[in-house]
Amino acid sequence: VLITMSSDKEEVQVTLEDQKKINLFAKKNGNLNEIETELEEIKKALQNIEDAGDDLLLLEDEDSEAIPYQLGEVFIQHNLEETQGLLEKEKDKYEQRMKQLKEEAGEIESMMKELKVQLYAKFGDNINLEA
Amino acid sequence: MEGDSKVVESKPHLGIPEAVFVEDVAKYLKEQGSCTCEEALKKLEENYQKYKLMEVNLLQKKQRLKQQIPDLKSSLDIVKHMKSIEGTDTTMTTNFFLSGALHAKAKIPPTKEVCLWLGANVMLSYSIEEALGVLNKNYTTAISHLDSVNKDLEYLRDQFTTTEVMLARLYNWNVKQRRAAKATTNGSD
Repeated sequence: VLITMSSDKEEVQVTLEDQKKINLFAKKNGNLNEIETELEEIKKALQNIEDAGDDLLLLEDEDSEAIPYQLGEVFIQHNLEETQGLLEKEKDKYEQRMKQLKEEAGEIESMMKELKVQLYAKFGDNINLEA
Repeated sequence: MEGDSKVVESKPHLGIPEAVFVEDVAKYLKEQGSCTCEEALKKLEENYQKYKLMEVNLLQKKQRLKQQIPDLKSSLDIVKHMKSIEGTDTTMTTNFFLSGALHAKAKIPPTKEVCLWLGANVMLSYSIEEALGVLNKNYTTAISHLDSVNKDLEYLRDQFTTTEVMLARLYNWNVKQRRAAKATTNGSD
């Protein structure tokens, strides 16, 4: 449970405005979780690409003529340069996505921080926003 | 505060009912008629469960789409590659998937045609251009579906957050009410 409200003390009136803030907080928190999952996936993919690039450098000349590169469900053979080019392209794509996601995450985080300040200011111990 | 209960702006989201925000718990209970606080709590709890159920459904839909999209993407990738060598004399040397971990080697000369698996044991042959069109269309449709599912999920989250908060408030109100009642009986002793 993300939000728990308890009030042993004086009751604080919850207004529609507050409710909207709480909803927004919950929603943003959900978005943030999703972005973090995707970032994890991208990190893994980038690591894979890097490993592949390193391994390419270790190949003997005769092996680097035809490197099976996975495209869709099949492997297509390319020479060393082509393969490196393909890897580079993949890497760029992921890095761009990562940059975009990190920006989004930053925005969401600062928004959540702001909401947290406002909500805790009003409800104090009566509200618990687990992020 | 003017109104007693207001409706957060509503839009049709698969017909998911809106959770109504209530400002004044006492008034709300009066409006509900004769029902006691416990009954109101039960009703809210029921609504909450319904929202949760809808969330599960939507999440399943989302999961399906999330699987479908990479599939389409990989088909798209390979057709794009075929397009890029169309008209040249580059032969693709491939290791293609046979089954399990088994891949076989094949040389594929540039072709103008590609067959797309449409499902239900039907495969249709397209020109590469057409295939790209079909795949692109499916891909964008899947993405936009995912988008709308995400929007519905966000909307749903609003609804059950509202319900969660309402539950907590009603519960608190109930506790307070009982305490007050106890205090008065103790006082009259």
